[in-house]
Amino acid sequence: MAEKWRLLLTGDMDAASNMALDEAVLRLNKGKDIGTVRFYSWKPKAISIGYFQGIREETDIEKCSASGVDVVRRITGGGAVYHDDELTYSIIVDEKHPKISDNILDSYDFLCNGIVLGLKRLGISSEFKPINDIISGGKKISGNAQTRRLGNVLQHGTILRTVDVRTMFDLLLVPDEKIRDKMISAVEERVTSIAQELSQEIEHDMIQKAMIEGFSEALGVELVLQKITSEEKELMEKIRREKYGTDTWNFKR
Amino acid sequence: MEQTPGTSKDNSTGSSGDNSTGSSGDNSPRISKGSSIYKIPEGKMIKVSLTMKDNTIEEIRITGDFFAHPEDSIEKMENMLMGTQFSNIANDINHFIEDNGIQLVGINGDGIVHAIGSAVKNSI
Repeated sequence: MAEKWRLLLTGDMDAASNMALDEAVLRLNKGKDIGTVRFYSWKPKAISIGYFQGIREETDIEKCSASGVDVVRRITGGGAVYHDDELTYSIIVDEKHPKISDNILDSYDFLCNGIVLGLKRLGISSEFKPINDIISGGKKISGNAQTRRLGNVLQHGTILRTVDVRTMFDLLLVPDEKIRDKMISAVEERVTSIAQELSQEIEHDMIQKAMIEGFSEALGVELVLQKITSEEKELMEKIRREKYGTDTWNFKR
Repeated sequence: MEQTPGTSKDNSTGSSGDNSTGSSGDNSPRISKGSSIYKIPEGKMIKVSLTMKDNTIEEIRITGDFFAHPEDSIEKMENMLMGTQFSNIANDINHFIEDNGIQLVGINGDGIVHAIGSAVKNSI
């Protein structure tokens, strides 16, 4: 009989709440030997930056704020991501769980396989590309980031439904303004989406369903839909208030 | 150049006062600022911005799209580097990584050393 893990479907939330809920689940996961898989999305649209990134090096803060786009620093490393038309997932599990490798790259590969199998169900072939990407036809379709804290692994990542590189770069800064156009074209060449791969747009819910099945297969677990606990909700609100909703955190680099 | 974060108090001290006074004041420290961007081959980006006082690192910030576990080890590394001689950093950094069991993903100690070296080289 397959092991049972929790499935959380939390839909649209703002950036600070999304990051706070991932952290709340991580913090409350102490000692449990089951994992949680969560799917979510971002409203309003948002940019998340990696833990080590300089917020003013990466984003045009004024433009984001004028366009109503949230900006939040993640607890995980990695690069800046524009969260628009995508499905985001997170996995939280005990670091010592037998399915989780000590080796970080191996665990990326293992966990990312859920997306690969989910995309396969949609008719898209893809593969894990170290360090933390999933590519389809040589182009990036998903980015992922992992942290290990308090004995737990948190990995979250994005699966692009459609992609709009131009808008994305309207809000992100580039290292050299002189080659901005060239850079955008280069990124357009390197990034794809589910819509692009299938030459048609498919419903968000269909993608979510495929990903639930994909992760369930990749992890070898049954995903059981649950609600977030009142303890998680309370902690999420506290973390949102004290961390992801504050300039102290978001502007710390 | 001008990547000054919001909280900077650097402008008031660094710009003109300190090192322009003595015509032959050899003993007055030379303050300089530099920054660099270094992409690790097949890996991630490291950005360094720093302030040097002669050959000593006064302030340093290491940013980028890399991964480091545990995450606060980069802040600790920055703190460790402040006040150290630039000539020793290769040793300092590699020992620091080893002694603290830091796992770097997408970058490595030599990459950080390289990025700091470039920032020092182009500091003015």
